[in-house]
Amino acid sequence: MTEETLRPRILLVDDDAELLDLMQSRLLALGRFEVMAVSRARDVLTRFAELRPDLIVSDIDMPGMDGGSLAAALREREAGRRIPILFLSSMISLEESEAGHGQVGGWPMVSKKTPFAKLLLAIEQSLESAAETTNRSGA
Amino acid sequence: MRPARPRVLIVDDQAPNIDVLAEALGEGYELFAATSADRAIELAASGMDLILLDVVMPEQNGFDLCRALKAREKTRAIPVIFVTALGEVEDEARGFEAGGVDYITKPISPPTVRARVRTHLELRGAHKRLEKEAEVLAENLRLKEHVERLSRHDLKTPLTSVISIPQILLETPGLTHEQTAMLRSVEAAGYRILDMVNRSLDLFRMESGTYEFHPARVDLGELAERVAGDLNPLAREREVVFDLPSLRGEPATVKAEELLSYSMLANLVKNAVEATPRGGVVRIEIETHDAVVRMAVRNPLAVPLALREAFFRKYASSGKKSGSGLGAYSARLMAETQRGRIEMSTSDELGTVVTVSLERAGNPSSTDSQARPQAQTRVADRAGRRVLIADDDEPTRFVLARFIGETAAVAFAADGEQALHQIEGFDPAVVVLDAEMPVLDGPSTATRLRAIDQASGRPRRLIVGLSAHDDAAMRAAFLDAGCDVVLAKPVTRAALLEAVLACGPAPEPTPGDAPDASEVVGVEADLLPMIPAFLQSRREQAKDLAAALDDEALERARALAHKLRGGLEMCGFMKAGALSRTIEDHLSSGRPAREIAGQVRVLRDYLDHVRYEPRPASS
Repeated sequence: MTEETLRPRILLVDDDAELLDLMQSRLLALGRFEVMAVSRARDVLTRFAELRPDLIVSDIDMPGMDGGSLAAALREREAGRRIPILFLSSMISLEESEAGHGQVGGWPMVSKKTPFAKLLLAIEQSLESAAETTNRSGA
Repeated sequence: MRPARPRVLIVDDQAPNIDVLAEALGEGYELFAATSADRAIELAASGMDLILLDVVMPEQNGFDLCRALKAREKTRAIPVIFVTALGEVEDEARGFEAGGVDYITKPISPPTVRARVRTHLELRGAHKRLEKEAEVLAENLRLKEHVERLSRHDLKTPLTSVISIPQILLETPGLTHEQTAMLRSVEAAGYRILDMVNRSLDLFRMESGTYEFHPARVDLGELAERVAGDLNPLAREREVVFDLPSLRGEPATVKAEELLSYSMLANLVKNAVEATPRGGVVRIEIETHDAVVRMAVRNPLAVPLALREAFFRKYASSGKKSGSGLGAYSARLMAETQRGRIEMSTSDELGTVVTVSLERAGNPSSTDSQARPQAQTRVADRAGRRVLIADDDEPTRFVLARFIGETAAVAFAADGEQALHQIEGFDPAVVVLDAEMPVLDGPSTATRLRAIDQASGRPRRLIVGLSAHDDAAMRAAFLDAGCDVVLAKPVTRAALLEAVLACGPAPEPTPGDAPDASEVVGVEADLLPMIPAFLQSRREQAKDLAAALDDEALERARALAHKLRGGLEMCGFMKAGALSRTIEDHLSSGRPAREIAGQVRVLRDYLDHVRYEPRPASS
């Protein structure tokens, strides 16, 4: 596969449609990612095979299935286990999130106050570390 | 321990009469004889299956002796057959009154004696078996209650360790891939057990009528699409096609629980798929009526005759290999728990239709009024945060402390009294209390702690109740005792951290602290084109928030404030975000709605007037 088709696939999960649009447009505008968006955590599970995300960026507090349950459900799946998740949360402060405090289901929480540039950095780090794990395990 | 032959006691003051009866009965019995009332009672008490009793005896007549036998616990149940030469109607009546079961007249006819004795022994045997069954049933009930308690408390507490310790170990640097995989599988197994415990508990609660139904709005159309999507692999494997013709148009929203409805429909659709021949179609239909929404699952084949009557009963199954016979049964329980109805009609011409009717949901805000008491107040000084964990289970204390990690200093107590002793020296801002502890339980500790603090005038601490009994009674006991948050075991790291991070008194913002709308907000340049639509949607959210407050739909209001805060902060509107947070905190801590309404007005006004300009993206 060429670099062109290998653009990482980011899946955004948030029940706030406006925010979802906004995030999607912002990330798409960079031209470096495929960006998909769903408004319910459950859709990630039901449409997993079709969405094939390399990274999930998800809200935590959502009606129906919340972020923690999503992480737990993905962990149950062979294909979902390796997909890194970044949780966007307004429950922790910028300082806490930068100090690496706060985790949901083993995945990091990033404060919603995080400037976009720093969020991008976190996205890239998550993608890289996932790629490393995959390479190391030979999968 | 009883010998195989029935024990029969013959009571007569005349030994020859006894011999005659003994001869008539023959070999099949273990026979005992008494010629006096005292001896008769003594022998009866040693355990007899039947007594043949002469009516006319010198010291005590047979009726009185019978009454005496019936009055004693040990001999009460032994059937008594009267033997008398009298054969008068009046005596027969007296005999039955005294507790006899039958009458034999002298001179005896051996076949009659044998037949009567056999009949009454059989009756007695049947009676004993019934008693035993009743005992077994009562025992089963006790067992079931025991199992429920076991699943709730005894299993969930150790599950906290099974699930959490792998999570903690996974953070150890330098784990091999294999070690990581093994830890993940322990954790996953823990979650599976938890899921099974929860599911069997729910079913048990529905069966026993103690399930607490919390209706919310569920869109059956969406639900049907999801179920069909999730069961598609099964359908494809069996070459069955789904037909969802009526899902477009008006939303079919009902008062139900999302998970319960999902399980119910999934059970029905799965059954339908399994009952459908290859190439067949399973249809899901939805009809919205005035008061109810009807959802039908249709498959082309009729239910076998033998199964129709018992279709919704427990363990009814068409004999398919994997079937537990619980699908339709649990669907019925779930429908009825959600105050709905379920019906099945079947025929060779039309196939089988299972129809569920659920109550239609009205106005969006009216069903959403359960305020979640949850403190989410904050302090600026997080470094000085101290948390006291009181739990009698050592592994749980360990896990909770690891969850809290470096976000706070932690102290421990193994019971409520120890916790109260720790309070003075350690002065924790957050106290985590297990429900069941020796010496002093969680709710009592909370009550005493609140009283102590009130007496000394200390600012309110955050008290977190931990309950393996995730039922309403324990929640209520904790909340009555002054707990701010009640978490069910196994506690997740996120839930605990959220509570711990939220400790301390909130700053007291007033409308006077309103963000200054004349200040210009700097927005990252690439966001600029999207801001007008974004702000417009925030204005609408704020308007919904005001409406929810008017309707006293506090949980909905809290959720909206939470959304507002997250979105505003993400786009750089920090001051409006902070105000939203204050509103959210006040909603969580149960401030009066009209006080909060003032803050919402300020927020709406700010959103109407806020100005913004591009600023370079920060690095």
